[in-house]
Amino acid sequence: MSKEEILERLVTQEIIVAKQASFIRDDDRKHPFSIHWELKTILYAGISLLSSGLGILIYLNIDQISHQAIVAAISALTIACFAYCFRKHQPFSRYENTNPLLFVDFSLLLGCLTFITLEGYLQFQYKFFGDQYDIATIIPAILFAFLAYYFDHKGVLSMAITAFASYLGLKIAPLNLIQSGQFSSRNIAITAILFGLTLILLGILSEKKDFKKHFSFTYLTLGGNLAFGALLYQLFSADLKLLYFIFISGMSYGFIWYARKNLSYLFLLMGVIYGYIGFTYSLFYYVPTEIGLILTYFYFIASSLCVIIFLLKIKEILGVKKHESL
Amino acid sequence: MKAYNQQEVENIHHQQIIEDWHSRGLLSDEQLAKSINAFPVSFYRPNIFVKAGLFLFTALASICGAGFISIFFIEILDNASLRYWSILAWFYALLFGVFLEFFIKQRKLFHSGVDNALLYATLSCFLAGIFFIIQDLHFPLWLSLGFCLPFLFLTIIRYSELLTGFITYVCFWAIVCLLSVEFPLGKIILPFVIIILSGGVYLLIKKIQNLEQIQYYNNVLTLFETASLVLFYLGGNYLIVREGNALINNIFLNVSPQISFAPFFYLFTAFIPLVYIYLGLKKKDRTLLVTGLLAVVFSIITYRFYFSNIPKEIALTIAGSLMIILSVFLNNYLKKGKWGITAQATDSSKLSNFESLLVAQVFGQAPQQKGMEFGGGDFGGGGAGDKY
Repeated sequence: MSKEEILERLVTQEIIVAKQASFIRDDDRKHPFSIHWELKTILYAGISLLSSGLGILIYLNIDQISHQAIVAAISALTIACFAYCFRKHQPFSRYENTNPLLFVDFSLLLGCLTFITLEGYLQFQYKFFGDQYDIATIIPAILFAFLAYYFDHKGVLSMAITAFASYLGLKIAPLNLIQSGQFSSRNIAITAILFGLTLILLGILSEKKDFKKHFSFTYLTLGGNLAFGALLYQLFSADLKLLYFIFISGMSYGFIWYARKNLSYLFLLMGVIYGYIGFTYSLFYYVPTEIGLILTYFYFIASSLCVIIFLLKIKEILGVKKHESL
Repeated sequence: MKAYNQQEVENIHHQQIIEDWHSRGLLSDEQLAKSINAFPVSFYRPNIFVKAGLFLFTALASICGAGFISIFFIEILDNASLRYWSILAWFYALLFGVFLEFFIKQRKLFHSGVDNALLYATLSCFLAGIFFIIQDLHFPLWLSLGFCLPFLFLTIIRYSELLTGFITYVCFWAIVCLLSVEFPLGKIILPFVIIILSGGVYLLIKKIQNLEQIQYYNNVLTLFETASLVLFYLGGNYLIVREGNALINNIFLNVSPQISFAPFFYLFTAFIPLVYIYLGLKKKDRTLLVTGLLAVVFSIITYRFYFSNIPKEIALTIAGSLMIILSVFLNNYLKKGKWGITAQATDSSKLSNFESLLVAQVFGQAPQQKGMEFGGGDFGGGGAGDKY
């Protein structure tokens, strides 16, 4: 059925009047073709190419260019980017900026990137922070967090979170989480759990207090994955298995409950999958190994079926009507 | 012949058009609700994350189910020839197939993760059965694939499922290429075979895409359309043709030999991306536009592969600057909209949440304690991973 036939059907069923149909027909013809996302992607890719190109260029010509010149150039670029943001930005608001200015967003991002380059360069060349690496990592974290809130930028917020994490010695960019060996010492896993829980708490708070409510997604995904990952690591390797099992179950329940409240299926999936892994591991840990192959298969078949039924009935369980979100 | 209710599959498509009108403010909320009711869909179509979870756990259940059953057969079949294994494989296929049909009929699933997983299980068990039978006969690969193709095709006809569609498409082209390189002449004309065939497929799809009877296959046709565009370009891309030519003739030199009709391929590599972009903008066809943009990137890589002596860092810097300038310029130029093109976002996308996670992945590598040293080409670069 073509658009034309759909319109005819809507008119004959008296949902719209003929005049509106011809208006829609007209608008369909004139409606502009948006290349917004394509341009945005080109800009992203351009920034990333330029910054790596410049990085290599400086590295290769480090003997010829005077260090002061390099520092001056990078600082100038950083300052220019931030200055542009401060000149052009819209007034601060605690709510989501529904009409962000593309170039403010990008010059903010570029400024943050060059700031990191500048800092790294100063440290490499002049031992600017001496042996105080802590200070060197906490400065961008604080700065980025401030900028993220001030200019309402989710991307910079996630950079701030990763900077805080690296201050604590963690790597939490989404793909790094999967890498093994990251929680190799007990202390760092505990740090990861606590940091993850803090992020989750921040996410919940920003929602409860209605202060930058839209940041909670970033907080909850990064914090949730970090905390779940570290908890599972502890469950597999530490002695207090029961404790960690209880923690994982609690968090799982929390995520499913949150998903139910906000109709957010990503968190539902996180709760279900991490919970399933934790439960299955604990079960096989406590049940003697003599149960044999048949019962093991049986467990996996039965448990998967339970999860499938749970997910199939999720709309009834969550009480979803029509509205959906991520 | 079709597993899912055809009328409802079409209604999904109509609902999308109606929702698009609503998002542009052409229909009121009340009219939207009524219009949606005029094209009812009773399928179970979960959100993408629920779908992922359903797929994962259905796959787990299927694998364990198959493992469970195999416990009883493993001793009987232990020393039997592979041919008898195909009976077991087909038994699995039958079992999964029955579940698949049952779920589609009873729970009205539509590409919901469960039916996708069961379809893959059915199909792979069935095809494995065929391979067990014919593997003694030592057929050439193209013939073995040829045995699979009709079954894959029938699966698309019935289920119109995306991954199966993709595999069918790959299988089809693998047969074409493998057959072609069997003959000396085929080796030479292979690029032209690819160009003409994929071009033909594309034009055919464009012709039948709006037919009413074909709406059921909308998703698979879109996939074929995109893949044909990509293949049409790659078929004539100088890098692919020259290196591919060396590969199928078993020539392993540092520099692959020049190919016949080289000027044609130079021109093809240079101009097809531009033609794609031009046509994409003119016809408001996003598939063409995006394929064209990616093709430009690959054409530049092709050029640099053979001719460029500009060092990498300068090329990166220049390319990055040009891209930023181009994007900024077009964004300002097209702000108000010109020639029916606008730089403004017309649909507020749910993807913006994921943009932040992407930034965390690509740019979010704040200096780390061990990484404070200024080293190597990865510094400050996008996608630098955890190396500095």
